[in-house]
Amino acid sequence: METKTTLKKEQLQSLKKAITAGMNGAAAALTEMIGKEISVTTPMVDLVVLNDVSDLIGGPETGVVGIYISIEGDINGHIILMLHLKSAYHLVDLLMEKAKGETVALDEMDSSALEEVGNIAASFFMKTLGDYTSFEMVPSPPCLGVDMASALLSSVLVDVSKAAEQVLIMETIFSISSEHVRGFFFLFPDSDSLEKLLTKIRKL
Amino acid sequence: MEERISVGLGELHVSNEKHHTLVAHGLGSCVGVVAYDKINKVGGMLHIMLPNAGPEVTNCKRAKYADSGIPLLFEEIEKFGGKKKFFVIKIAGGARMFNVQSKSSIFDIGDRNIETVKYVLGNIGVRVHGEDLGLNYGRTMHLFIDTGKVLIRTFGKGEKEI
Repeated sequence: METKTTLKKEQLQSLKKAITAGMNGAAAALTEMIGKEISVTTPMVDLVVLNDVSDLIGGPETGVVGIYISIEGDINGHIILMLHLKSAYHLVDLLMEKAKGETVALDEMDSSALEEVGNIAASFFMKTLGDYTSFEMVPSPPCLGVDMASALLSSVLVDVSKAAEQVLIMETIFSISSEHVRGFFFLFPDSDSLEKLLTKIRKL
Repeated sequence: MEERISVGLGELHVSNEKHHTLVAHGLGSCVGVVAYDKINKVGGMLHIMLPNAGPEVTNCKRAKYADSGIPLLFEEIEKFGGKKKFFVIKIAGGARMFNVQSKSSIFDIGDRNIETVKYVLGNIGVRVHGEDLGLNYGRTMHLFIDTGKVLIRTFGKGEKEI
């Protein structure tokens, strides 16, 4: 079936620009939170077919940490920051100033630290993207889940999959004082919001 | 040699090949529905995402919804020579993966999927023989075509037959 949303190359390009601006805002805020230089790169922004989304992160049954935040306002949708378990443990080591490899499971403190990372990343992402597009977006409190990638992703995909068979996603790499933590920042605008974003960005 | 066939989001697969194993990976709020005819050794798996299809649904998307997908699953199995009176039905999934407080009702979708799957099966007049539903964790569902055995695997919560 023909999908409602098809993006042209130049649309993806301008979307990538807006998203990169958003991610830089998130990185600056995270740097302040952690007190270590954090940079974020976004090597990929693309539309992906529903059933291929979890392949990006290593297959549907890959064990991951997902931090969920909803977007409400002029733009509606969902954000999931997703990390492989190992990457999440690594990030906790860095955040809590533990020795590398010390974290082997997440306790409550670790979980809330990760939720906070998701919260800050998402809030500043929305703020920067909001400044860029003059759309207002309000984040929900963060919520963490540890499970199979597909189980976490599909629970959010149901909401955006009604109209489209494809979703907009991006890959993100966090670098903390030269240590790289690879993560995925999934942005799922609902189809009306994606249209709205594209229309606005085209005019900028 | 066992061959695994992945049944993705909103997909349906039917088989009567003994070496086939149908697999729905990482069911979260989605529900996997298995129907298996023990006599004729044919079975199918459906991976629904949402409870009800809107009026705009076309043929190729019927497997995405409980109300349109379940009748489709039965029709497809019958095409392979399966008989409804021999069906053993097993269902899994419908979890609430994130415990979010938000205006959006998407995190109730697991419960609504379960409710609708049971309602549709009840309307057709078939009984559920095994289930592993709800709670807050993901499940991978396997159907072994030669035996009809259904295995549920979880992340860190072991595996079991239903």
